[in-house]
Amino acid sequence: MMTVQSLSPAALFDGAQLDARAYSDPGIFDLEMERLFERAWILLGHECQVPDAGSFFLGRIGRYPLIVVRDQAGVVRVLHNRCAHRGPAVCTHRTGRTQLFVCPYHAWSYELDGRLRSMPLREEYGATFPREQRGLAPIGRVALYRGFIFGRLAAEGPDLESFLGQARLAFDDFVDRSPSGELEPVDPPLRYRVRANWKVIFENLNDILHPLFAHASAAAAVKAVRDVDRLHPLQRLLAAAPAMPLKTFQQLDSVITDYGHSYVTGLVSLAGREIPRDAYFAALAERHGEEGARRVLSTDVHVVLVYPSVTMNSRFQTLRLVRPIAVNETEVEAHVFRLKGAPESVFAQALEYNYVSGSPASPVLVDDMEIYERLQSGEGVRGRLSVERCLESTGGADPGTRIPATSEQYIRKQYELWRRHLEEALP
Amino acid sequence: MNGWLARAERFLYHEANLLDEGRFEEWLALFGSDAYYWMPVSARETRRKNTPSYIDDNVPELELRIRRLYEPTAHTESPRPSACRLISNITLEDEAAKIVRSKLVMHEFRRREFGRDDYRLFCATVRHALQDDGEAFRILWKRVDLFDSEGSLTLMPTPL
Repeated sequence: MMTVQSLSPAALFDGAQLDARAYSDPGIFDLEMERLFERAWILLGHECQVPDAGSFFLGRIGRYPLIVVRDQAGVVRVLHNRCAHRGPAVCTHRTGRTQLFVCPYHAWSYELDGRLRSMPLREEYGATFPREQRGLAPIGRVALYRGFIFGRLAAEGPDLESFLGQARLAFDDFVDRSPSGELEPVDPPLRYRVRANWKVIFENLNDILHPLFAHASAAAAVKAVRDVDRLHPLQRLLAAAPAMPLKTFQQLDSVITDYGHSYVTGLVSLAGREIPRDAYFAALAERHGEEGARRVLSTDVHVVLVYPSVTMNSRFQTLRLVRPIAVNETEVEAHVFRLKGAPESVFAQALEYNYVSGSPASPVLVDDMEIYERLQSGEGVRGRLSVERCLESTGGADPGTRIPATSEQYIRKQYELWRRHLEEALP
Repeated sequence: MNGWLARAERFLYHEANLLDEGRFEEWLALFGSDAYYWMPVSARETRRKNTPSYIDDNVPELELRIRRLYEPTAHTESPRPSACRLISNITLEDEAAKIVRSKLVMHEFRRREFGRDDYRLFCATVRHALQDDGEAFRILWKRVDLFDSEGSLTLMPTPL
């Protein structure tokens, strides 16, 4: 296997082509974990998942297991899930409530803010034992945006709002759709695992061209169903996209931010855009006014990729955490939320969306998963892959250029950042 | 009830056989028109449409699922995996509602000409609610709880 000593990130991506080893080299994966995932703001969850002092859930940044917990003072803390004594994880429950974290090995115990509380044989550690430095270590930075909890391992770097840039839209829209401004967590999450590199997911989800081919079987199957009216509307919709001329997609716009986040606008309206004057509209109008409710419900954004940690679908109250496990293995953990104060039908729609697009048994997702794994099958194979669609028209950095949704510029932007971070050692 | 359970067992073996042999249309015909097939994430969950699910299909949605398997563009079926389902520990869980509980072990194999051959293992507790007209059974609902349902699972194009 090639190692990082012999592979330079600069040589792996030249602005138009990508070396296939970016998906398969373990040394490159190690560099990504250290230099990309430690520098980025990583989404961990939403504060509704830690409603009271002592409520916690487990998260991850790169390879580091973390505890997200609300402490006695009400502050959301993100701590390394690792005993300061001999190192085992102190917490193994996905979510719960506690007063203390106690290590199973020698019973070192920790307060909710991570401070070391006690351990057996305290006197044997002597008077100079630096107890305040032997807690569950906090990560570099924690910040909240609209209640969404982000963490960063590195202490230095851009503030969260600058990092998110226009991708803030995903989080604003998520919360604005709640008639109370509040969310409720739903447990358990829906997960899937692909035997492929994590980057292929960020390259696929805003690839507006692939459904026509990759998902042709689901579209054809919809047409073959006898009692098509009894399919859920979101399933019936699967047949619509492949029937559209490619020109339709070229006319939509991509938005790409400085930190590699991206989304496509105008996609939702293609399926028709009538805002029903139902109980949900009325509830939203009470919060935002009628004009405001119309504005919220007509927000036309489908998937927002927040590089490199999460894909957001605010319209269906869904976020998907993308967790690299190994160079050839990735876990995706989808969380769906209830909008407090919204009718039950809104949640039902969110669940259905989750199922149609995010279940490893979904007739849509299975073909993506198959293709991800085929892409990985060239493991160790050298050779260059193309990221050249609309390179001439949109490859330049001119911020005024319109970027059609069919452009692969969003992938090129991801790799520009990737290359820059991987080349530069952490301070 | 012993004779009835023996008939139910034969029915479950028949169903497993149809799936193993890729006779998906015949398999679908075992379901009543208002039936559903549910594979929730949480084994503790009792309410459908209240929780994330891997599969939560009415009959037309099941039909979509199996029609896709016949499409030449179904990439997961190229080549189609072969499967071997073993059913055991069959008990009558609810006599009045005719709910039969069984354990399923499924081995799946897929030839990969371009990489490693793929072997996978699925284990589940399965419940069938059956309707019986004295001659034949129909499935009113089927619930599948994978023993690793709270893990992260790889692709499942074929119903279990």
